[in-house]
Amino acid sequence: MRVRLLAVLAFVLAACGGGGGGSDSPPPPPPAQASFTDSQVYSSAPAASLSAPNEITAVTQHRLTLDGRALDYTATAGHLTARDLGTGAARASFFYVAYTLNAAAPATRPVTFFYNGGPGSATVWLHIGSFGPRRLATAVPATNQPTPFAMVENTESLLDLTDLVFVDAVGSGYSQAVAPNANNAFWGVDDDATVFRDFVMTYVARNNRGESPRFLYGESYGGPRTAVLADLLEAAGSRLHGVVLQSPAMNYNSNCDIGSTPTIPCTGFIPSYGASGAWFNRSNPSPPAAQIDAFMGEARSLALNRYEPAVRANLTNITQPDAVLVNDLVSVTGLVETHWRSRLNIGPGYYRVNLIPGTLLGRYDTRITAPGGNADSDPSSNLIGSSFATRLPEYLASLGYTNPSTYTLLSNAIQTWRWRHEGNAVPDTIPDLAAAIAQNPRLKVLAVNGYHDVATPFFTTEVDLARLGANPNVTVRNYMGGHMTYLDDASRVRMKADLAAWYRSALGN
Amino acid sequence: MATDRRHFLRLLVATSLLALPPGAGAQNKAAYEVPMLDPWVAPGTLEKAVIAPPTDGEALRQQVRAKLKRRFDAAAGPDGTLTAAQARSAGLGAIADRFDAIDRAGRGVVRFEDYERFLELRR
Repeated sequence: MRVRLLAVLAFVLAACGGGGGGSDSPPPPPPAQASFTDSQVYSSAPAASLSAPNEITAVTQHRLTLDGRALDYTATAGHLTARDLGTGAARASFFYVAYTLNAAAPATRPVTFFYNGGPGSATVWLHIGSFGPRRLATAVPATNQPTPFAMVENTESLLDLTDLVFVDAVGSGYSQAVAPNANNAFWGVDDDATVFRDFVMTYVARNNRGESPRFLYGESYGGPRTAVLADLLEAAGSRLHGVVLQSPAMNYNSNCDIGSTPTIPCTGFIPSYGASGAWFNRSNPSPPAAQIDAFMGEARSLALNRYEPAVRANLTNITQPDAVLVNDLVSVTGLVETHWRSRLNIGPGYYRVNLIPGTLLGRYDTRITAPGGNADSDPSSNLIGSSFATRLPEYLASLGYTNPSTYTLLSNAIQTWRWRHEGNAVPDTIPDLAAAIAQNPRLKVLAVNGYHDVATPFFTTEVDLARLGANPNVTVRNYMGGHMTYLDDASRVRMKADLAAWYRSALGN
Repeated sequence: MATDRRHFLRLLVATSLLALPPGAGAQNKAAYEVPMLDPWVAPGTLEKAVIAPPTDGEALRQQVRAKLKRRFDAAAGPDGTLTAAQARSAGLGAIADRFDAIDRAGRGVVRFEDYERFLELRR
């Protein structure tokens, strides 16, 4: 990638294009400069609060070559103060990096907002792991690459399809609440989505993107955040074209591993155990990757039609499963019979420890293993974490933005998160997504999942989304790989092709 | 499994403390060896909670209706009617922007039923 650091004199921001916005003119565009050493210290502490947020951005020029075509783009890194939809009061200072194609017409050029989940996670994984102009070459699931992984040009970037805005949640990365709010004012399902709405709407107004087709791309907890946010944006009149749910946890009431809830059957995990068993040649048969789809069909049927009723009977009446079912569970998952006889409702931690004695499978990607037997550790997370942590600040510096604070990859927001939502103790956000669709029937929904992810199993996503009923605008795609399917080089190529077709369809092209 | 998480919490707390000092040039590697928890809720959150059964079909439709109605009613006057200006000031841009299409009778005020009919027609 050729990097030319230029001072960008004008960002050509026309006045608010009218149509739908409030009567107040947006404030002037934030000052742009080629590099910015932000002396502000950002904190992820629950009570932390900024008294004087800045909106200075580092703006640099770059070129990416995709399929032989040179794309000149602008990278903008810095903060934007999200303002309350009603009062205009400053709520939170969001750190973001935007990649915008030069010489594109805002009225037709899409913009996509990306964020990870946690809650409490910075958007580092999507930013330098997925579809930005540069990415970390992890070569997952290989474990023999030197670390920290190298940053390379991303030939699967989505920049040819859409402008990309990667934004950190409040209290993560360099994002922080603005006084009188503290970070933890936004640490709840509804408060978090509301302040994200304020960020998106502020960004759109300030950057003259009111006419641009808009998309959201949320991963993991970013999935339920997307459902709640999409409903809020639609209600506010900020129309979306589509949402991508990357390995989403749409319904916390349907995942047996959340909160260690023994009353929820682990149905959604069975196909992922099957994919994992096949990967390690423990399933019988263990089909190769090319035949995984057919094998998963069988695993879904076993899980839903036979395993789930047996688990329910087992949980209520301590009824033992029949021998045929146990035999089929052993064949599909590779986990030996004694385990299924000892506890029929097997959660992912137990599976990861016991599939191969002495070897621990990853949680985010079961294909990545390490010696050991403590399910609290995740070899797939450990493999990539320090590389992302090291490379992100270096990369931001290459975009002209430097900051003395620690970039918070993961805050402790999850410890005190306010989960209650719509009367439920933990969120079920399928009704939020349904409400977004009710307000905007043309909204496109694409869920992408990895077969080897036992944090948010793909089958759970399918079962959750099936509640929406038959809707041609809702699509699910599954790939070889874990939670972050985009880290797998072959899967990222397939994802790019599927996303390109999906964006074209959402844009009516 | 709750006990499995305890060690994990200690790690998380320890690493959050270590991550505090600003200006540290070298990233604290240990912080990133803690696996991400997503999705996860703190122990105790679900112990007394009722697990919500999944809704679909008509039950889901009613949930959506209730959600939209709650939002509408919060913005509307005590008589259940809403003007374009009220919709705008309550942040309900979707209603304000399409007010004339929702207000088919041209009364200058809409009821939730008008909005509902408008949404139904667009399905």
